[in-house]
Amino acid sequence: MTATLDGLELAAPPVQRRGSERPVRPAWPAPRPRRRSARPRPWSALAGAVVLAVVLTWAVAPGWFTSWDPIATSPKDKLLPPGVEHWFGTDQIGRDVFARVVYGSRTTIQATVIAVGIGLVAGSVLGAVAGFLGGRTDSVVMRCVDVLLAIPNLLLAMVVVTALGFGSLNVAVAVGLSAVASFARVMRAEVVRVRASPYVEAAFAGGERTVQVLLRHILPNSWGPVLALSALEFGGAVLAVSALSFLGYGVVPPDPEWGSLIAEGRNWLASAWWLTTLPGLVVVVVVVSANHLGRSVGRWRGERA
Amino acid sequence: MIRYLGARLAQAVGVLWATFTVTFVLLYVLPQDPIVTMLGARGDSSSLDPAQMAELRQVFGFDQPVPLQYLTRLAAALRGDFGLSVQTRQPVLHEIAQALPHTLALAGLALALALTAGVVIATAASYATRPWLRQVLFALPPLGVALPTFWVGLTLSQWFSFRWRLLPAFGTDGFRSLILPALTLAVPVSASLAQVLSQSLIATWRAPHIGLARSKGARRWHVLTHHVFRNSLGPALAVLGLTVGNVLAGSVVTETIFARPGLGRLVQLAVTEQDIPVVQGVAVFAAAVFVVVNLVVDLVQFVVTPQLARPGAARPVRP
Repeated sequence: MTATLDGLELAAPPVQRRGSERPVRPAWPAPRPRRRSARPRPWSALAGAVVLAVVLTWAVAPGWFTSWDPIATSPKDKLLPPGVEHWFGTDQIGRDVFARVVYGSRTTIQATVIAVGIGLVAGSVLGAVAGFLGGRTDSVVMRCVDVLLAIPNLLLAMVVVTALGFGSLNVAVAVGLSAVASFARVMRAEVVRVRASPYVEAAFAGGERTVQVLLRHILPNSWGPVLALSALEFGGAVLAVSALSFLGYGVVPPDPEWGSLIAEGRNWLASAWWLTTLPGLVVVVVVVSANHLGRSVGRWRGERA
Repeated sequence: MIRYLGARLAQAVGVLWATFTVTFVLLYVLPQDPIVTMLGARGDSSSLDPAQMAELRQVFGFDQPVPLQYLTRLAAALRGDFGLSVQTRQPVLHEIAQALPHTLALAGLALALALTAGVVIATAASYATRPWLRQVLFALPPLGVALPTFWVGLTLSQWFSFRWRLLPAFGTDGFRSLILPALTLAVPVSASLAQVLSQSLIATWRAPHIGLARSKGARRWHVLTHHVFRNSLGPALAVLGLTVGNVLAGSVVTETIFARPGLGRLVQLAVTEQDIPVVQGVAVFAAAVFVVVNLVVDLVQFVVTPQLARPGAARPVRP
């Protein structure tokens, strides 16, 4: 990069040079089919995005996907195995399991989105401030983050749930708070990296104000890894939210929710496998998709997520 | 190196103190009246008359100002006293000590399984040459990370206990009842381990010194065992330190599903019953385990990577 001290020119986003940092493929690779197998192809990332889009639509408009009522009972149809009529079968009081999964996504996905939102906003602000200001602020903030990392996420979420009380919103807040630390770490690392770049120095030299440098030059260039992380955390938050509601800290019983749905099926493990297996598979597919999308975005941004 | 360890030790103590403080603020200061919170879970807060409430408040020390409460509790915690459990009126430390052996047995077996599976899968994935085999092996860890622990546990017990009647679904009698919970707990741990280790192995296979060894005629297996494996352990070790926390967290779900006594079950019941002292005790205990394990991991890093012990060397990798 030609280093002129012309603030205007250098203030533009940097040329993508990351590709050149990748090690050149040596001529002596160990295994024959290198790289390709470990690297997701674009269509598979697209498939992940489609799955997430479908599930988000479930959460917004569950009525489009099933005509069954998730709460109305029908005792004569109890414990029917999966079939054309009831895709995922029916539960012990005749409710359609697929409908309960679709309607349950409203609670689960809502809680997940809130959780990721809290983690993203709080973590990014903390990380950006720490990375940008540096010095004592940095070390104080990052020590706090270390503490949050030392308590296992699920346990931290349980502590928060104890303090706030039960309910799906409180579960969401708890999961969100336990995700703050990882967002803060990633954001800080990225801000520190961008802050050291010549165009930031040039912006300062050009007399821009601190806030302006942060908003115009540093943040737009450091959101990539955080974005990738939020897709990954989305998967993690789905798992955490459903684990907490599986343990019974989430919704009040008649309402469907993925974790509690699976918990309700526990008593029918021997006779009605579909009550736990099929909702669980939905959770797995969603989490795999989110994680895959997160990794793809990370790689697309040239970073390892 | 001594200096580095000293700094790490001080940091560890600081993390423990901060954990205590964070949980204190969350559990004792945030709720308006901890007594109501604790009794509210059982729905009998209205049945208590104010005199009884005041007495309970005195027993648990809530009648004192918050800073004083904090100092008393911190001083007590330094002696290992986290107060009395609300449900059983036993000291929290006693409850933890009673639950610990069960969780240790479970976590030990789970970690052993996870280490074996994780290392084998990651090594095989990066060593295999057939494209389809590599694809399958590389797809396993991301899948394992995405499986909800509670669902794995239920599905395992569904097939192995209820369908095939091979292993008990509940209880703690003997080794056989330990297998399914340990398998359940091992899945996420081995998956995250394998993910990091396979990335690290791939990177090492591409390093120049591997190319040199190969071009001098060394067999791939020899290169793997003598040049690649040890050089790839660093990141995996760091992750192993982090996963110990996940084992503890995973034991909450696993012990609930398989109705086993243990730390996880203890904290699950404590949260359900809003038993604040137990929740805090287990949280601080978990942080202590985490801190100690990570100190040990750092020591092992020095053994595995002797370069780190040199003055001016980089610090151990932390993902």
